[in-house]
Amino acid sequence: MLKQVYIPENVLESTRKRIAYIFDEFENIIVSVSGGKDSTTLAHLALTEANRRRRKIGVFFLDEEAVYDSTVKQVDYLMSMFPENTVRLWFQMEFKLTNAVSLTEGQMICWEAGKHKIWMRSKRADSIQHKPWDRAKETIRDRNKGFGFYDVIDNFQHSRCNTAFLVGLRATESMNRWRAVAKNPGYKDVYWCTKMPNECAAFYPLYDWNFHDIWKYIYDQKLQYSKIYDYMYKKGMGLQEIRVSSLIHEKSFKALVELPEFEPDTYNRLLKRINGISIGNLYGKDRKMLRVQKLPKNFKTWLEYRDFLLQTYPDPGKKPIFERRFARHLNNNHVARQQCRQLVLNDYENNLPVKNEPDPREEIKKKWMELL
Amino acid sequence: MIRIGLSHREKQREIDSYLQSHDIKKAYCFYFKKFPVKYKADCDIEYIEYSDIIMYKFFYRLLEEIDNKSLIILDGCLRTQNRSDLTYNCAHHYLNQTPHRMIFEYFPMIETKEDFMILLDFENKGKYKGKGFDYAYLQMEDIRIKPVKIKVETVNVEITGKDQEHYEARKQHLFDALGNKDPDTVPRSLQLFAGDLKKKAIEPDKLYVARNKRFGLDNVLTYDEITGRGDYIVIDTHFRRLNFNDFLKATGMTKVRHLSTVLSIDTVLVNELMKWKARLEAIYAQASIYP
Repeated sequence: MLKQVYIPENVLESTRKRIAYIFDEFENIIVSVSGGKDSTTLAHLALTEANRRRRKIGVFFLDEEAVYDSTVKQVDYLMSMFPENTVRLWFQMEFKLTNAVSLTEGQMICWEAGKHKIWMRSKRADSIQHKPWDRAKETIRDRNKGFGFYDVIDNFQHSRCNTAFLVGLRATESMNRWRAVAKNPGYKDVYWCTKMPNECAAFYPLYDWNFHDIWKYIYDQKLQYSKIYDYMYKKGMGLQEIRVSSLIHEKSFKALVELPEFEPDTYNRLLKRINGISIGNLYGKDRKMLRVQKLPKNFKTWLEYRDFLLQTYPDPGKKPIFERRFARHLNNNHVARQQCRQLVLNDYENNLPVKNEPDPREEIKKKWMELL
Repeated sequence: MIRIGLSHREKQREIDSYLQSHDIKKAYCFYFKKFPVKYKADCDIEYIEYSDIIMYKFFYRLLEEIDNKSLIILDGCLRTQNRSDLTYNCAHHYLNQTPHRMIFEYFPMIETKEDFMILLDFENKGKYKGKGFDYAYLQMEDIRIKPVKIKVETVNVEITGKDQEHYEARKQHLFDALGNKDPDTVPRSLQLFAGDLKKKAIEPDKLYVARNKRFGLDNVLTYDEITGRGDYIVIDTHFRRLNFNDFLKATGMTKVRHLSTVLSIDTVLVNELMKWKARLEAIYAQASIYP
């Protein structure tokens, strides 16, 4: 259970102090935005401080092309809030993104050269369209995948010196992720940050904010926010379900189910842009299909289904990745269900890690056999 | 304050007394939908169904409205054993904004004594957050309990050797054909099987409760159908403890008469009920009694 300890100071006051500290310590500051509520709050706080100090900071957005129109509008709004204090870092360059809804087109090449006629929208005149770093020093995390989303971020960050990168990560969203980034002080004695090369550091000034703190700030400051939140709320989606992110990767494909209702034009363009969108729309929340929670009728066990999926996996380049990974796992139905999810969602990157543990059902079954 | 096991009239008396001694501008009463309540008060009372409190239309308005002149009444809101539950956490945000809280509940727990921590968290979250239950806490806060002492009585139903054989065969089949199904479905299926054997013991002039309408008899009701007081003989216990507790609360029954066979499923279920009763009585034994 996440334990929060309350102190006399509220999170807003603390965050303003944290941001002021970063401004005192760093000459170069870049705030990363995604168009969601957290980065909207963070960007506004950072830009307000920049405005107070009459300084300029970078606002970084990596445009994945397959995003809501509302996200694009929101990022444009954020970059226009304090134009005299903003350096626009809107990246629109070619990189690969996992497409979880198609096994035949497992990757989308965002802003792919030669496909400009079917791009989701035209590139912006003021965007950064070519790699602004030394190509000879370019790094790639996973050669199997190719140059991906995180490679753009890594290379961009590594090309900067003495820079503070501000990220809207909150501990309540994922305690595991938070533990990983805040294990050690990243800069001097500051724990809410991660150390990076070239005297840079990534800071998380909103780390102790709760969900409602974010919305209160947006309300109090009368900030504009992505329309998708309103659509989702009107649709009756739960508080935890309401989130804005990409539309096609393995953690966000469920957004395709509501997309035609929220943004019909975006859905229409996406259908033409990449394979599998209609499958995502129809089966994104289906327990037997893309959620992989219920075993299809023609298989007796998850092990059988896993073997079938592996045997018929269409991409010979990616198949050995799964085979090698699964060879290290336990061979039971509990693990096999999770392996099926990776195969169905094309998760060769292991973004949905498998809990490699004995099947908890066996324990319960044993208990009932003894009692009854 | 936490008050357990009070009748509507006693709760009304507690509210009257609290309102007389405190300057309260408005009261907010959160209740569980199955047990709607109405209280009389000099100040304005707003009733909100407990599961609705997470909705935006309530959440932000209540955060703005609730202040140190507001009273929050939580009536029957012990609906989860999970201390990270979303609705329960939303309730804390409101409770943090006022010192005036009245927590009413029928039983002090759902399944185990640890559930009482939910009520203590309602009363004072900062103090008990992350801590496990300790009987000493019962004396540390303003807690009064009026024990609802439950008696369990089994009514034996004779079955034949052939019935027992069928039962054993059924059990074996359920385990063998379990496949990917939840293992908890085995006792539930066996309970229905054993329940069918009890049909001959059903008397037309008495009321019974079963898990479903399979008997097709007017005097055998399901748990969902029972909303008011009455005296029912239990054919099948509800497999969710919270729902069984709701049944006891709705009917006001303190004596549970259970139709039982010699089959292992009945022994297991009656034992589980007896263990629950023992845990309940352990709390009653160490709490301050409501006068």
